[in-house]
Amino acid sequence: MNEHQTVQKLLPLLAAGVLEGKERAQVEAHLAGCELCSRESAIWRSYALGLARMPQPQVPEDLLLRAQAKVLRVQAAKTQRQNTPWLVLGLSVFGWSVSLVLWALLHMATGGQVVVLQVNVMRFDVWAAVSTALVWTSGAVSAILLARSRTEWRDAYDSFAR
Amino acid sequence: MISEAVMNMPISRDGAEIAAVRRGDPEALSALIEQFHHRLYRYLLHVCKDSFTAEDLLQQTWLRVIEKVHKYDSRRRFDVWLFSVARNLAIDHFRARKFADSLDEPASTEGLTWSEKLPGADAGALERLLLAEQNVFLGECLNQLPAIHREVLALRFEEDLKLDEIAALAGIPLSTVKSRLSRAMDGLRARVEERLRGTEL
Repeated sequence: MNEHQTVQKLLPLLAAGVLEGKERAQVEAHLAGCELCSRESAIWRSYALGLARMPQPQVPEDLLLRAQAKVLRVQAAKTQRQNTPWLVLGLSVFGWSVSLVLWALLHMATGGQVVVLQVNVMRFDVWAAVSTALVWTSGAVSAILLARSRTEWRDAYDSFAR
Repeated sequence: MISEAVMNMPISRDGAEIAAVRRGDPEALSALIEQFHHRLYRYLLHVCKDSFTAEDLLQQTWLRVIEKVHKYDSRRRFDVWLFSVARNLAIDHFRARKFADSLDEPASTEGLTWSEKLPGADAGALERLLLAEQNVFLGECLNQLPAIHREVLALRFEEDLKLDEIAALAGIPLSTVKSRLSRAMDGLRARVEERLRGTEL
């Protein structure tokens, strides 16, 4: 491959502005003394100019809004999923604490004797069983209500995003 | 494969915004989507040539971003990382549909340079085109190129990325980016000249 061919292979890269160091110096030195390659270089520069001035595509008007709505919805769901275990743990600890404090107060107030249906509910094992049942029932009801509100919110968001 | 030059870049100006996105801040995420919206769509449109696919991939890209943002290395430019996420999704899209025009396939036009293929081409051809404001014509010729060539031209000339940034984005060696860019320009010029000859006949 002669020098013209070597240089001409590098001209597209020179026009693209990515030729550096020794290669760039070699090409520029050749161009200074070679009319043929200089003309060729000018053509490549015009291609580079044309590429840099390409008309910009029209972005669909509502695409940004739709993309943001969809992504934010997914992120919100992800955040909720991440937070749910902590929320459940926190509520459980809170529920048990309230139950324990209530048991202690009632125990002091009643002397440990509250009989309902012939069962002393102030016995710690009975109290724990009743509290557990109440905590789980209220947890299930909360979960159902939360899921309903999430669905309503998501539907509203979808209709907004469309 | 991330080059040292890209790895050693200073922390991106988007660093605070990215940190907020990592924390799940919806306003930061929304702003980030808006900031890169046009560029990302333009890149995907160049790669796919189809606005519906580009729209779909754009949304998928952001969904992937919120999934993977904790893996983003803030020493890298965010736009380069974002485009690499979009690129991987585009590759998956092409593979799933078994498109021949895929980003991960080698170029079909190899070897010969423009001047070898088209001896005696008109030296003033493109100047005439530009004077006649026929950028649309250039765009049509660009769309005839293989996806990997459209991509490298878009990344260099529209996104103004350096070779090492393109290499990092595409996960290929610098030398491959160089030869790909050179072949892409050769291919574009060949198509322009072919069409000009066609219109002159």
